[in-house]
Amino acid sequence: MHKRAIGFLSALCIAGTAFMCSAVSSTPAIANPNFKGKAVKFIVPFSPGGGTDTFARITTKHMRQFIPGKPKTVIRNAPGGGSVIGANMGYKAKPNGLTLLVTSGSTVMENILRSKGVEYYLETMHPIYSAPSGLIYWTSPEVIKEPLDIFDTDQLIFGHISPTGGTGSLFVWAKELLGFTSKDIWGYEGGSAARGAFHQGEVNIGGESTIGFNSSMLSYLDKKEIVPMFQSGILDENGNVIREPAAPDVPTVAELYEMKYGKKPSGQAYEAYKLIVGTRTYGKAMLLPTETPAEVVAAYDQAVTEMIVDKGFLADAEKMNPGAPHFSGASLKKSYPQSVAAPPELLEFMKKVYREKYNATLE
Amino acid sequence: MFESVLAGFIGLFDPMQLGMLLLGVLTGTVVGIVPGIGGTAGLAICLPFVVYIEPTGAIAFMIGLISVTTTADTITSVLLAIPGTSGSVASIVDGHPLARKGEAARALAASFVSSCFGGIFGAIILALSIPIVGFIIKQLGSPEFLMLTMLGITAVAMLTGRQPLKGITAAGIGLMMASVGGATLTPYFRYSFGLPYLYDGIPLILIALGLFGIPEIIDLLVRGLPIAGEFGMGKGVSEGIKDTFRNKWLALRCAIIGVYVGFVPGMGTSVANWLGYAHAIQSSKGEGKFGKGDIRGIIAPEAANNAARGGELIPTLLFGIPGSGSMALLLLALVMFGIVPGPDMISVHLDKVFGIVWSLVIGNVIGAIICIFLAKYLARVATVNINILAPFVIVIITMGAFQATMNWGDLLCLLFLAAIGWTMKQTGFPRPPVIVGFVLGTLAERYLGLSIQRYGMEWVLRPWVIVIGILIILTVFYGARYQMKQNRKEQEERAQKSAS
Repeated sequence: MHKRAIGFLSALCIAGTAFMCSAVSSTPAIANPNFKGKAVKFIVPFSPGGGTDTFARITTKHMRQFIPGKPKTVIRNAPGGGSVIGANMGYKAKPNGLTLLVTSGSTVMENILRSKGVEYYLETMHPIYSAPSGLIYWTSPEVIKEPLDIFDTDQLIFGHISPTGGTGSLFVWAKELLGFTSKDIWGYEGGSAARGAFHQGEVNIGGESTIGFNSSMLSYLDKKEIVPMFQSGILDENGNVIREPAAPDVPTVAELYEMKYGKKPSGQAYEAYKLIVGTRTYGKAMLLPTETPAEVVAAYDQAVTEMIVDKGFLADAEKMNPGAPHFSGASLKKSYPQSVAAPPELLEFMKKVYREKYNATLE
Repeated sequence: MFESVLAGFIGLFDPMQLGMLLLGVLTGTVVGIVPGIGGTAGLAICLPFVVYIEPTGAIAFMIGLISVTTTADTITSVLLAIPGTSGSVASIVDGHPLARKGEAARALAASFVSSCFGGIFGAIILALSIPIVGFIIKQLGSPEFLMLTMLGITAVAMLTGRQPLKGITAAGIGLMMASVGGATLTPYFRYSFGLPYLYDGIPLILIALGLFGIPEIIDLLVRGLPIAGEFGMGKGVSEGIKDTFRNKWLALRCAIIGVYVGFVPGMGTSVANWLGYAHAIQSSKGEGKFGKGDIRGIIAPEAANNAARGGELIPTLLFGIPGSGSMALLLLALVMFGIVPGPDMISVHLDKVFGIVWSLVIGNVIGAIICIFLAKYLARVATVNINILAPFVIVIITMGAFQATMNWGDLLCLLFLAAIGWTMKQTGFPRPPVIVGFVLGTLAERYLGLSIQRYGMEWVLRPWVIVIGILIILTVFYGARYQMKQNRKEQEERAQKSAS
C-alpha cells in the first residue's frame, strides 16, 4: 500500500516537473527569427471579455499562422491601474520577440498624459498592427429621445474605469467641447462591469468600443431599448473626423457640436478631442518592446502584412468591426509616434482640466 | 418554455456533444486537483484549442470543465488543508480535521455527492428563476454587492476558530494584504515598496499555498505521523454518500443560497461557500462539532459553491457580464461562435440556454461519479508516512507557487507568507478569514467607492442594503453566541477528562 502511494506521488511529481519545464521560456535565435515550438505572449492590460481582450484573442488566432514557425499564442490578462500596470509589463518585457503588448485608447491616453505610475513610452516601441476602433456612447430612452436632447437634461449618469481611460477620456473631452451636464462615477473594474451597471440602472450612459458594441448591444438598439448619443468617429488620411463605417447612423461629437451651435468646432477643447480620436485610430494596437532586434520586428511586420489580406482573418474582422481599415507596421511607422504624444501647450491645458475638474493628479 | 427545456435535453444526446462534455469533465477533474490552476487558468489554457472544434461541442467541453472544478477542488482542501480554489476554503475547516481523524474517504465522498446535489439543485433553481432574473438584477447595485462582501467576511470571521475577535483581526489582515499593489480606483501603487513584483499585488495562489499549505506540512512533520494520525482508513466512501443523503435538505437550502450569490459578479463561489457554512451552523441550533470535523461543515459549502457556478451563468448569458474569470472565457467562446448574450437568449435562444444548463447538470453528475471512484485512492494519501509524503508535497507547493508569475519573488513571497501562516497557526489565529478578506477586499473597496460616488451616503438607506445589514448583525450575534457555547462545552469536556 505504501508502494502504490509512492508510485502515485512520483508520477504526480514527474508530471509536475514536466509541466514546469515546458512553462519556462528559453531564449530564441535572433538571425532569421523562427518561433517554432515557442509560445508568444500577448499582454492585454484589461480583464478578459472586454473589447481589447476580444480583439486580441481573435486577431492572435489568425496571426499565429503567419508568424515564422507558427508558434502558439497566449493571452496574458494584466488589468489594473487603467491599463498602466499591463503596459508597464509589456514595455519592460524581454525584447526577444516572445512578448507583445496590446494597447487600447486608455494606454495611449496615459502615455500622452504621463500619469503617475506610467513607466512605459509607447513612442519608442514598435507597432506592428493597429485596427482603428471608435467609441459609441448611448443612453436610455427614458432620458433622451435623440442626440440633441442631451443638452436639455440633468439626468445623465456616466460610469467607467477612469477619466483618463480610453472610454472615460473621450467622454470627458466630448463633455468639455459640447458643454452638456452629467454625473460621472469612476472605478468600475472594466467595460463589462460598466455595461452591467447600465443594465442594472446604476448608471444610464454606456460607452463601448465599436467592437464591443457590435458584439453585445445591437439587439438592444433594435428593440429601441437604448438611444445612441454620439460616437467618437475616427480620423481619415487627412486627419479629419469622420463617422466610423461600422456606425453610419450616429453623429460624431464634432457633428453634434455643429448641430447645436451652428458653427464648426474650434479651440483647445476641440484640439484635445481630435487628439483623442487620433488615439482611437491607433488605440487598438500591438507593439514590440523598444530593444527588439530589427529582424524580429521585420518578421512580425511581414506576418501582419500577410494576415490583413487573408480571407479567414478578414471574415472574422468584418464580424467584429465592419468596414474598418487595418494597418501593418510599415504604414504605422510614420503616423504612430505623433498620435501617441501631445504638443506641450495642449498637454498643459488638458492636465489643468483633469486636475481641476476630475481630481486626477498627473505628474 | 417547456419545449426549450426538452429541446436542450435532447440536444445533449448527440454523441459528439456528450463526448466533448466527458472530455471537459475529465480535464476539469485533473485541473481541479492540482492546487492553484483552478477553473479559469485551465479554461484559458484550453481555449485556443477548443475554438477549432465546432461550437456546440466546444461549449459542451467548456461547461464540462467549469462544472467539475468546484467538485475536484475539495480534494486538496480536505487532504492537505490547501484550498483548491477560493470556493473551497470553507471545506478546509471541517474537511481537514476529518482527514486527520482518518475519515478522509468519508469527507471526500460526502463533498463530491453534495457538490453534485448542489450543481443539480442549482441548475433547477436557475431554470425556474429565469422569468424573475431581470427583476433581481435591477435590485443589485454596487451598494448591495458591497454589503454581500461584508456578509461573506463577517461569516468567515465569526465562524472559524473559537475566538471571533481573532477571526476579525485575521480578516483585517487579509483586507490589508489586498491593498498591496495597484489601487482599485486610481492608478497609484500601495505598499509596493517600489518593487515591480508587487505592482500586481500578492498572487492569490501564494496565499493559498504559503498561508495554508506549508504551515500544515511543518506541523505534520513535527508530529511525525501520517495526516490521518493513528486512525488508519476509518469510515469510508459509502458512509460519506449516506451522510449527504441524510442531509439532503441542508444541501438544497445551501444550493438556493449559492445560486443567488452566484448572480453577483466576482463573488460567486468565494462567498457562496461561506454563506453555506454559516447556514449549516445556524440551522444546527448549536448541536454538532463544527470546526472539529462535522460532516455538515463539508456538505453545506460544497453544495453552495457548485450551485453558485450555475448562478454565474445568468449574468453571463443574459447580459454578457461575466461573473468570474471562467465565465468571461465562456462568454468569449460564445461570442466567437456568434451566440450573442443578451435578451435574445431568453426569447430566441432559450433552448441553447437550457442546453447549457443541462450540460452543467450532466457534467456535475459525471464529475461526481469520477471523483467518488477516486475518493478511496485519494484518501490513502492521508495514511502515507509523513516523511515520504512531505517532500513531494513541498515540491508540488513550490512548483505551484512559481506558476504565479515565474519570478523569484514568488518563492520569497511564499516563504514570507508561510512564516506568517505558521505563526498564526501557533497563536490560534484562524487563517481562512485572511484569504477571504484578501479575495473580497478589492471588491469591497471598489464597491464602496462606486456606492459613495453614485449615491452619496444615502446608499445605506437602500432596502436590500438594510436587509443584508441586518443579516450581518445577526451573523455577528449568533456567531458570537455559538462560539461562546462551544467554548463552554469544550471547557466542560476538558474538566471531565481531567477529572476521570
